[in-house]
Amino acid sequence: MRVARSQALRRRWIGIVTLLVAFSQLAPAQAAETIPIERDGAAWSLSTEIAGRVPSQLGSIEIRGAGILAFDPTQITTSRPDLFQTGSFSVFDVLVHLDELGEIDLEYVFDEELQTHVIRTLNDLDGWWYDAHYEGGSFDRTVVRIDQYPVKDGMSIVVYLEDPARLEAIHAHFLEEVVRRASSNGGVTIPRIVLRSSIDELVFEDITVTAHDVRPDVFQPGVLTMLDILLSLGEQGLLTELDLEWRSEEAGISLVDGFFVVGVAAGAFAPESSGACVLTHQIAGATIADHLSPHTHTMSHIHLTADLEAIVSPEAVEWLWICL
Amino acid sequence: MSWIILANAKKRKARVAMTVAGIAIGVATLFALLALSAGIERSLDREISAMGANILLLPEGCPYELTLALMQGTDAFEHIPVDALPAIESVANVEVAVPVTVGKAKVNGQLTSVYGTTSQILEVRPWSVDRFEGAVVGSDVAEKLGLSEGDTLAIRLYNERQVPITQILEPTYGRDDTFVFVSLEVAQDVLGLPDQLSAVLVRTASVSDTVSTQSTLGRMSDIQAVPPSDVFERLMELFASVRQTLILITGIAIVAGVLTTMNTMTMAVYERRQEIGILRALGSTKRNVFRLFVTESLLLSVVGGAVGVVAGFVATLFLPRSSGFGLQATPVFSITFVAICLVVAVLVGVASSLYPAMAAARTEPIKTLREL
Repeated sequence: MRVARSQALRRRWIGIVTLLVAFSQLAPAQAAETIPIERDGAAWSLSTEIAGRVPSQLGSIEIRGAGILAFDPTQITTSRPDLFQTGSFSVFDVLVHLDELGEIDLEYVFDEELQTHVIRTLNDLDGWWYDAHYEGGSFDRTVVRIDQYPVKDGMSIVVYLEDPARLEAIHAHFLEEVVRRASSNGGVTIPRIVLRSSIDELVFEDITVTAHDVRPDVFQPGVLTMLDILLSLGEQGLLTELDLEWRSEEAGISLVDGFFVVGVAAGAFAPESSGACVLTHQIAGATIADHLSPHTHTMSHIHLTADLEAIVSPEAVEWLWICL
Repeated sequence: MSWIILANAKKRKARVAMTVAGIAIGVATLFALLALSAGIERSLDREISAMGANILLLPEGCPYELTLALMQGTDAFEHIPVDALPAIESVANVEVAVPVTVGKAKVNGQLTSVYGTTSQILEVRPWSVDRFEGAVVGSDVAEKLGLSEGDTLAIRLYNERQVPITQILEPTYGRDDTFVFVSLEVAQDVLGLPDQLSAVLVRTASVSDTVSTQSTLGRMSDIQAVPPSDVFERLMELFASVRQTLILITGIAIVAGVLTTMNTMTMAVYERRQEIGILRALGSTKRNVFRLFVTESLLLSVVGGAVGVVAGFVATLFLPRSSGFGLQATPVFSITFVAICLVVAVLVGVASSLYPAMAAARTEPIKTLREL
C-alpha cells in the first residue's frame, strides 16, 4: 500500500516537473524591449536610439561551383557608403572582398538605371543572383538588391546562377522603382500598401514615405526603410497605433537585433496580435509577383526586419501577421 | 404557350441574343472555374503520388516550398548531406530510400530541370524502363529539344558533362515529362552541389507502420520527414485563397446575368402590356400570364446555360495550364459540372423572372385595352 502511494507521489512529481520543463520551453527566451513611438504634433519617431551588433565573427558564403568561402567581416568595407554606416556592409561587399583576396574572379558595375551593383561575371560565368537569411530564417527567393542586404553574424548566403527569366524580372522591377522615384522628383510615393489581418485588409494608396532614421547604426541618414512606411502612415493620420519591440535575441537565436512590429491599429481596424505574432512585410507588384516565393511572408521576413530593409520606390508593399 | 414564347423570341432576336450572352458569360466562368479547380487538384494529387514515396525526407526549411521546388525541379538551396543516407536506410521499415538532387541547368543550351538520382528511382516510379544509365529523358523535353535515344546531351551549369541518352520515357502527363534524369554524381557535379541531396524519397515496407517510421526519421538531425498527403492538403489550402477570388468573380458574373435577364423581362412586360391585356381579356388567368413569363425566362436561361457550358469548355482549352504552383494542370471535365452549371442557369432564370412575371400578372386588362 505504502509502495503504491509512494509511486503515485513520484509519478505526480515527475508530471509536475515535466510540465514545468515543457512550459519553460514554450515561453520564448527573448530579450525584448518595448519602444514607444514619440508623437510630436504630427511627427512620429522612435523614443530611443538602439544600436545592433556590428558583424565581427568569421562568416561564410556559398558560391555555387566555387564552394563555401570564409570571410572576416572586420576586413570588409562597404561599396555603398551612401547607404551604410562604417562597419556595416552588404552581401555584395562580401563578394567584392573575396575578389580582392583573389578567391573569386568578380566583374561588376554600378548600374545607374537599376541603382544597384550588378555582377557581370563571377568566375567567368554570368547570370548570378543570391539568396540570404539571418540566423533562424530560411531562404525565400529574395528580391532585395544585393548591395542593400545588410550582413549580420551567423547569416547564410548563397550566390548562384539564376534562371534568366527571373533575373530579367528582378532587374525590370528595379528599373521600375528607379523610374517611379525619378517621376516623384526623388521622393518616394508607394502606389499601394496593404495591411492584412486574418479577416480583413486595409488598403492605402499613393502614400508618400519619408525617412525617420530608425537604424542610424546601420544606415546613413535619409535612407528609407520598410519601417518608415508604417511611421509615415502614422504621421499622415492613417494609423492610430504602432507598437514596436526591439529584440536582441529569441529562443534558439543568439542574434536578432531588429525592431519587430507587434501591434498596429487604424481606428476600428485593429488586427489581433499576441505575444508570438509579428507583422511582416513583403514587396509586391505585377512585375515581380510571379518571381517571389509562392509561400510569401516566410521565416526570413521575420528576421529581415522592416528597419533593415532599405527601399527605393516599390510599387506595392503588403503587411501580414505571422504567428510563431 | 410555347408558340407565344417562340413568336416573341423571333420578334426580338437581338435582345434575346444579348440576354442569352449575359447568362452564358456567368455560366462559362463557373464552368471554367470548376474544370480548372478540379484540374489543379488532380494535377497536385498526381504529382505528389507520382513521387512514389510514403515519406518525403526534406532538409530544414518550409516543407511546402521544398516539396514544390522538388516537383518543379528547381534548387531550393537547403540540402541534406549525402552522408545521412546510410542512417536513413538503416531505419526499420524503410524499404527504399531514393536520394534526389534537382536543379535547372542548360541541356543542349536550353534551361531544363535536371533530376539526379540512382537506379532505385525505378522502384518508386511507374516507368517501363529496365535500366537507369546515362540520361533518361522525359517525353516533353525530348520533343522540345528534338532528342532521340543514342544522342549525347551536353548538360552545363557550373560544370559541363556529356551524357548519352539511353531511354526516352513514354508520356506520364506529369512533371516527369519535363525532366532529364541522370546519375546523382552527374547532377551534383553540374549543379555545383557536391554530396548534397535535395530530398530522399522513402517507401516503407509496411504502410501501417509508416507513422512510426516517419517519427523516427524526423528525429534525425537537419532532416524533416513529411507525409506527402500533408503537403497536398497544405497546397490545396494555399490554392483555396486563389479559388475564393475566382468564386467572387464568378458570383459577380452570375449576378450580372440575373440583372440582365430581369431587365430584359421587365422591358418585355412593359412592351407587351397590350398583348397581356388581350390574353387576359380572352380568358387567361393571372397564373397563366405569370407562368408564361417564368417559362420564357427559364428557356432563355437554359439556352444561356447550354451556350455557357460550351463557351466555358472552349475557354478552358485556351487558358494557361499553370496551376499557380509552377505545375501543369489540365482541366477536368465532368457531367456533374455540366449539371451544376445548368442548375445555376435555371436558378438565374427563376430569380430573374419572378418580379417581371408578377408585374405582368398584375396587369389590368381593361386599362391596357383602352390604350389600343
